[in-house]
Amino acid sequence: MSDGVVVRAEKCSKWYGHVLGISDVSWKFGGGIVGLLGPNGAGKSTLIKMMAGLLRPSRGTLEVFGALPYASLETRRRIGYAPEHEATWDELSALELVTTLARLSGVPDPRKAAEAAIATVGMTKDQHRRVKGFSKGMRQRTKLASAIVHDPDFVLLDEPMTGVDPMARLDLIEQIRRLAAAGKTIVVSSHVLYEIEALTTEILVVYRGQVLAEGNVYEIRKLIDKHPHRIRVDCDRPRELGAALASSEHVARVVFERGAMVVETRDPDRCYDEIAACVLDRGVAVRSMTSPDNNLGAVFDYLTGGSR
Amino acid sequence: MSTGAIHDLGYKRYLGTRRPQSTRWGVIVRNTVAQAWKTWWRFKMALGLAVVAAVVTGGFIYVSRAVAPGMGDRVVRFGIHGNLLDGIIALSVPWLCKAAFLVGLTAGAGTIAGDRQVGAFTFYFSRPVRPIDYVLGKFGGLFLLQLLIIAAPLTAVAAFRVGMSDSSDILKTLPLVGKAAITGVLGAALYAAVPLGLSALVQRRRNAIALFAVFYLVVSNIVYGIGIGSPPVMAFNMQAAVTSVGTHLFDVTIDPFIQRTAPFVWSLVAIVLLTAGGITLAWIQVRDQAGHGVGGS
Amino acid sequence: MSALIELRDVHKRFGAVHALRGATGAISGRITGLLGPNGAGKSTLIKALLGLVEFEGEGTVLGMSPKTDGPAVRDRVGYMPENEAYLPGMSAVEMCVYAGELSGLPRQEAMQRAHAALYYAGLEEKRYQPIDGYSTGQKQRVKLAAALVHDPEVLFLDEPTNGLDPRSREEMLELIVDMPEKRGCSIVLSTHLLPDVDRVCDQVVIMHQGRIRFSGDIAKLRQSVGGTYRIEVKDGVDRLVTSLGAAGIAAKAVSPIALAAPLGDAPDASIVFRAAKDARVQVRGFELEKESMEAAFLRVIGDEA
Repeated sequence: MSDGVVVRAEKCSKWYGHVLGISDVSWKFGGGIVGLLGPNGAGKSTLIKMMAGLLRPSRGTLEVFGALPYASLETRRRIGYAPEHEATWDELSALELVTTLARLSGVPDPRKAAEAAIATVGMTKDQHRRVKGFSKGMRQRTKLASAIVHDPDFVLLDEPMTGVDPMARLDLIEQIRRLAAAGKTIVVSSHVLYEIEALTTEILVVYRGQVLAEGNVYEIRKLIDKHPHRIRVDCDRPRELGAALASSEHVARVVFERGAMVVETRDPDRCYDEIAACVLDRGVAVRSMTSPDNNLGAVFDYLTGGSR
Repeated sequence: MSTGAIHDLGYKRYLGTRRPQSTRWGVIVRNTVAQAWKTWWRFKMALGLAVVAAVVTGGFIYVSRAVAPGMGDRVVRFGIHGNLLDGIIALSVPWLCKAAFLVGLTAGAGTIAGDRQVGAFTFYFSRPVRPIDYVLGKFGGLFLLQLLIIAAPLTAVAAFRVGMSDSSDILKTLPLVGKAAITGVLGAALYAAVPLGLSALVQRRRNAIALFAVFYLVVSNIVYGIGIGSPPVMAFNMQAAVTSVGTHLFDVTIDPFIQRTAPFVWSLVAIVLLTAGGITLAWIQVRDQAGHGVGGS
Repeated sequence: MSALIELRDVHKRFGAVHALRGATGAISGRITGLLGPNGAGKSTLIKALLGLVEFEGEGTVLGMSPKTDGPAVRDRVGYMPENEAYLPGMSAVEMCVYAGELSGLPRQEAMQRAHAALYYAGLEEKRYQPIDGYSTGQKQRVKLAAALVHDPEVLFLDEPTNGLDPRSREEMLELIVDMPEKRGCSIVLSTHLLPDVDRVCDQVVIMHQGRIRFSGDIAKLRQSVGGTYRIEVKDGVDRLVTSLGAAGIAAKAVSPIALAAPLGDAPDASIVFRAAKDARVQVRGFELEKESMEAAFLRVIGDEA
């Protein structure tokens, strides 16, 4: 592992005949949890499979831990991959399944490693039951156990929480956080944006086969000029507050709703200061102040061209 | 003075009546037939085979009548005891059965298993469709298709035969058309019900088709072989049953070295049993599995 | 106004498995969320309400009994399944017309409504092509349209946003929110995604171990966390905590950019802003803390009978 970078893609492209997977992707990632987002068909699965070493780039390079994952068995041993669709051997029990996969990965004591992995995902109670009878949530957890049984340093999770009930979901999020805290690098791909939000602020947005945005979601938000920040203040005198703000240069728009004022500003920093000053100087009674579009959902929407 | 108007394109509730529950199966019948008719290389190919068989038989009748009138006498020729022309019609039945087998294989054996596999059961049974509606609908559709394969060509050829006979004989030969129709209907029912029933037994479409193929080609041949020793058993070979109904109704006997014939009454019994069995089997299986996909995993 | 769906002491056993153990409750909202962990009995309940399984106890849907009038119930109730449920080789239009006819609509009516439903679901362009070639999002839309064709009064949606990317998910939720007005039907939304429920539902039913643990307004579900406010800042959380402490408020930091302060139910926000000014901290958010959906859910599940 060189200079702390786990994944490094350099002008990487992948084509399946005429069909575009990803095009000219350059990206590097050092550690922690990163959320991989993008519309269907944008290239997320392609990118994940390439990081897992299942696909070779058509052009450019993609290195994991400084080596080519598809070419290096050593590197693949340090990678764990939980794909979106599973075709498992239904007749086996969870423990048997994970043990078999552990054995295939060359883990020294497969059964013990399997038991440990299963304990990590909280499936110890059901580990002897056949996978056939499992609910979606249990399958997902078994899949996660299979992906971490060989104690990889880099874990790729494709839609790990689809169909999982709320209790198990909280649990899985906790598991993933713990894995990251233990030093593993984790890539989570999901369509359910609040899952990603609960896990991390680092994101990679893939759109039409290319990297559209990367990094901290709040920093990215600041860079989206076209959509000024919205701040909503519920108070007793919204019009007075709105009028006071409207004269400032950075304010693009002020909208009034019943009992509230929504200001769109190009300079949130200055705006917040001005609001605070207004509240104190004029004695406006504030019930709540929120920023409705300072979240991942809004950022994704703005980036991929929706309008709110 | 001119006027303008904007119309409300909003949603309107359906306030009309709904068709009674008993008509739902008819919808499925129509759908089954329409689906089979879509691709040209399944049902239409079998239909082509049936048409060829009918045309060949008709051609033979035409040639025989044109070349040698007076064939209407009871003679023994080509192993056929009885009226040669009637016998020829009876001999066309096995060919029509082969076409029916093809239809049973492509449109029949795969239906129920295929539906279950892609989740169509959820589609059907989350709507006001009962298992009996579903089964009768599928059977009805297949029955209509098989009518086109067996009954229609047979009846057409019989009508042709009647048309080719001398005007003095027409009244005598007219019942032939009815007999052909009966044979066709029985055959159609049998070849619709059996693959349907087998389709309901198996989970996957491919396996269902294989099951029917094995049943028809292997098991039935074993039954035929056993039937050489004890004729009643032979009636449970589908093709033999239908053919024997045909030969009996057309009043001909065919020498065993051309084709063995199962006893007539046993053939009727077999056809009824197998048909009823197929439908019942399908109904039981579907009834047990109707609610499967509903409510999620 | 009588409830759309009523249940009284409903039991259902599958051999040794006791799936429903005396479920009792009523559903009468516009959009009702149906929640519960796996194995809670949700899918059995839906099957029972649609008349697809026998059960003990009393249940009515739109005043009809699913036990005796299953097909009549399904005439007026729609169901959008979670799993794949399509007929190969058919186009979206054909499938929806078929669905309409199977629900008893005359052919002409079914054709009109099929197109209307497909327009509503947003499938104008591809509707004549075979479903086999559709994307996940399009397949979900077809399922929705097929469930709407026969003009149901109640519509069960089973994980309708499954597999949809964020944009399509958003569009589906918008459709759902509009449905009671635009299509005149009430909705029962069965899902694991609590934020979706938060977003669109006005009522919630929570099931656990075969019983209904909670049934009522979503607002009633979440207990107020007693006048605690969440205050977000640009930075300097600790400075603000100190400053608030000096003003007599025992605040607590909960993240690098947020803190929780017990301010009572109708507080004077200017106290906070003044304390922030004194501490040279920029306030960026000020909101009454509501119990999160997750916490409420876990609380309801956790109280064992």
